[in-house]
Amino acid sequence: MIPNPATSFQSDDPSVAVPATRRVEQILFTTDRRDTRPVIMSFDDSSGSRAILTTSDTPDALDTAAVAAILAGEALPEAGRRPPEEPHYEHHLTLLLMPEIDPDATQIPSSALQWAATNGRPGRENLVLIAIHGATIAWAPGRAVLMAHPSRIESVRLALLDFCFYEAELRSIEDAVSLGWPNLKRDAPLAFEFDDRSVGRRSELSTRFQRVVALRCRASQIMPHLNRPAIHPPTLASQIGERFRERSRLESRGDFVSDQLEIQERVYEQCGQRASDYMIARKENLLCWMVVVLLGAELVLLLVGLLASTGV
Amino acid sequence: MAMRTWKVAIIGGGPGGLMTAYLLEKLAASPIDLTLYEASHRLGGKIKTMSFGSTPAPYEAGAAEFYDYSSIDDDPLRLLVKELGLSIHPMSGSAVVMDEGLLSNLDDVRECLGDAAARALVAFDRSAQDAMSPRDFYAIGESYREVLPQGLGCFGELLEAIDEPHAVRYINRLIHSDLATEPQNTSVSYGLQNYLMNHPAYMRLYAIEGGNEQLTLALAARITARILLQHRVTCVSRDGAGRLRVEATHTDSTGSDSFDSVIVALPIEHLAALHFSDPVLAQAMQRHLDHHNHPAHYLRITILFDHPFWRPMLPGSFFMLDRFDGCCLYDESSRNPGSPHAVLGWLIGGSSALQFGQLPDDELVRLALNSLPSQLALGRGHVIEARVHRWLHAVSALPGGCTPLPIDRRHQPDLLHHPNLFVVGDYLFDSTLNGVLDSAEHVSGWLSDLINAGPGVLL
Repeated sequence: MIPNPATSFQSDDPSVAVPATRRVEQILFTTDRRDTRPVIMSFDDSSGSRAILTTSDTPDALDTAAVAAILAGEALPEAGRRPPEEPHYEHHLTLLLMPEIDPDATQIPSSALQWAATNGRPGRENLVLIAIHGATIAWAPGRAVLMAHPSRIESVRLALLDFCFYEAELRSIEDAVSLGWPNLKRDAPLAFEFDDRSVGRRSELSTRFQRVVALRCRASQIMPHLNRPAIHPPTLASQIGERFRERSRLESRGDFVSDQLEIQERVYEQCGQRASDYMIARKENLLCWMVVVLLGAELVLLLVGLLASTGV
Repeated sequence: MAMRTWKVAIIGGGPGGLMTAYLLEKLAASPIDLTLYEASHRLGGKIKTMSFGSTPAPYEAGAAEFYDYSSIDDDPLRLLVKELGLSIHPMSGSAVVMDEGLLSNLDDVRECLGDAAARALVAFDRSAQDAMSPRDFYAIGESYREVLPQGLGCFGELLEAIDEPHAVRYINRLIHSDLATEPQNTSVSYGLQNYLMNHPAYMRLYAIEGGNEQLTLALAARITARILLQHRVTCVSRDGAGRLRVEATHTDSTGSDSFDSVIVALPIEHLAALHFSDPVLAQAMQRHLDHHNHPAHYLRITILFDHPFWRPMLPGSFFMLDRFDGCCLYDESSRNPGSPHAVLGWLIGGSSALQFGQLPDDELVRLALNSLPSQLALGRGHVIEARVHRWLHAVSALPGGCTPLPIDRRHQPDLLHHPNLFVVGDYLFDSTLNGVLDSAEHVSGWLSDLINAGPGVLL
C-alpha cells in the first residue's frame, strides 16, 4: 500500500525535527539496518531503506560555518561535513535548511542556488527550482536548499526526502541500464546462435541476466511510488511532492527505464535459452556417440564370438 | 435510378449543432443534404474566444475550459480534439482566497480556518469520494443517470449536515462558480460532481491552444453543411408530405424549407422562443421544457492589466475568490505560455450572476477590481481595458431534470407523432461541453442508423 503523504510525512524520530535556525544536513539513504544514527524517515518500498541523519542532530559551530560558506559562495568546509565511507550506503543528500518567518522573503540566495547546481555532472543535471505557496526549494541530484516557514519546513523536508530517495533510486537504475548496453550489443548474437566457443561465457551471461532481473525487480518496487496518485485535499507537502515528480518526469522516466529493462531481459532470457538448449544438445550428442561406441564394441565382440565358435 | 439524399436541418450553430453536423456527416453512409441555421452572425455559441480592442490579448468570453476524463476511460471530447488536430494546454489551480487569506492546501485551511474546519473538510471529502467513485463520476457524465440513491434531497441539505460553518463556506466558495446555482437548487449528484471535479483522480482541466473557439472553428471548417448565419428559426411545422417545415427570418424576409429530419440544438432559453405549430408537438416540447428548464447563470468580467501582478502570489491557471458568493478568477494570459499580456477573468455564477448582471458594465468592473484581496489591491491602478459578458439563463442548474429521463426520450420529445424531430443540448447530460458531445453523438448515431438502414436509393 502506498502511504498517504498527508499523514505519513512525519519524522520517525522526534529528535531529528528541523531546528529553528539555518543548518546543513548530511542525509544518507541506506538499507543497512546496523546503522544506529537517527532515522528521519523510513520508506515503504520493500527494500527497507531509511533516511539517516549523518550529521549531529543539533546545530553547532560547524553548521554555522557550513551555512556561511554556502551563502558566501565558498566550498563547504570539509571536516565533519562528509559522511564517512559507508560500505552499505546507497545515496547521499546534502540539504541546506533555511527556516524563514518573513512571508515575502521567498528568494533563495543566488550563492546557495549556485552551490546546489554545481553538484551534478556538467551538462546533464539541471537545477529544479520550485516556489509554491510560501515554500521555495532548489534541488539537483545530491544537493538541495529548502526555504519555508518554520511551521511548515518539517513536512516539506520529509516530502523532499521522499522525492530525493525515489529519484536517486530511479537514477541509479537508469545508470545501470545505460552501462548494460555495450555488453548487450556484444551478447545479442548469442540469443540467436550459441556454439562451442560461447560455452565459456555462460556464467558471464548468467550474471548479467541476474543483474537485469534484479534491476527490473527494483524498478517494479519503486514504480508505484513514482506513479503515486495526487491526494485530495492537498497538503503543502503533497503539492511539493507532486510538483517535483512532475518537473523531474519521474513517471515517464520510470516507463522508459522499464521498457529498456524489458529489452535487456528479453535478450538475456533468449541467451539463457540458447545456452541451455546448446548444453542439452551437446549432452545428447555425447550420449549418442557413447551409444554408437558401445554398439560398435558389442558388434566387435559378437563378431569375435562368432568367429571363435566357427573355429576360424 | 437516383440516389436519395436525406435532407436534415440543424437549428443552432453552437457546439451542439456543429458537433451533430460533423458526426452525422462522418457516420452517414448515404449522402445527406445538411442545412445549419444560426440566428447570430457567428458560430460557436457558448464557446467564444475574444480579444481586447487596445491590444490583441485573447481571453475566453464563454466556456472557460474542457474536462478531461481520459484517466478513467474513453473521453470522446478529448478524442475529438485530438482528431481535429488541436493542441491542448493543461489547466490547474487549487487556491481559494477567503477573508483575505490565501488557502492553497490543507495546511493553510488548518492555519486560517482552524483544526475543526480542516477536519470537517477532510471528512466531507472522504464521504464525497465514498458516495461517488471516479467510475460513478464518469458514468454520470456518460449517461447522466442518477448513481446515488433517490430521496437524498438537494445538495444544500448535504452541506447543512456539516457542523463546521467555515468548512461549509469554504466548500461553497470552492464550487459556486462551477455550479452556477445555489446548493439548494441542485441535486446531490450534481453538487458532488462539481465538488469532486477538483480532485485530480476524477478529472483534469484543459484549454485549447489558440483559444477554445478553435474547436468550433475546426468543426465548422470540416463540415460541408449549408451554413445560414443570421437566420433565426421562428417556427417548425409539418408539411403535407409528413416532412418538417422550418421557417426562418433573415434580415426582413422570411423563408421556409422542408426536411426529412430536424435537429434542434439550442440552449434551453432559446428553445422556449421557438414556435411549434402542431399542437401535439407544441405540447411535447412544452413538457420537454418544463422538465429541463432549471436555469443557471454566468457572468464574466475580464480585465486587461499592464502586468500580471497576481502571479507571485497566485501561480496556476485559476484561483477562487470568496466575493460574489464565490467566483473563479482565471489567469487568461496563462493559457498561452509566453504571452506578454496580463488578463484576469472573473467567472461569477448562480444568483450573484443574475443579480449583478443587471448592473452596467462600468459598475461591474469597479466591483470586480474591489473584490481583489488587499495583497493584490496594487493591481487596481494598472487597468488598460475591461469587457463584460453575460450568460444569464444559459445553462441548466439541474441537468437531466429532477429525475433524468431515459436517454432516447430526452432526445426525442414526441417519438410517436414526430419521430423525425430530435433535440441536442448540454442540459440533457451534465451542462458541460462533454455533455453536449454525448448528446450530439447519441442523436447523430441514431439518425445515421436510420439513414443507413432506410431506402438509400430512390426509384
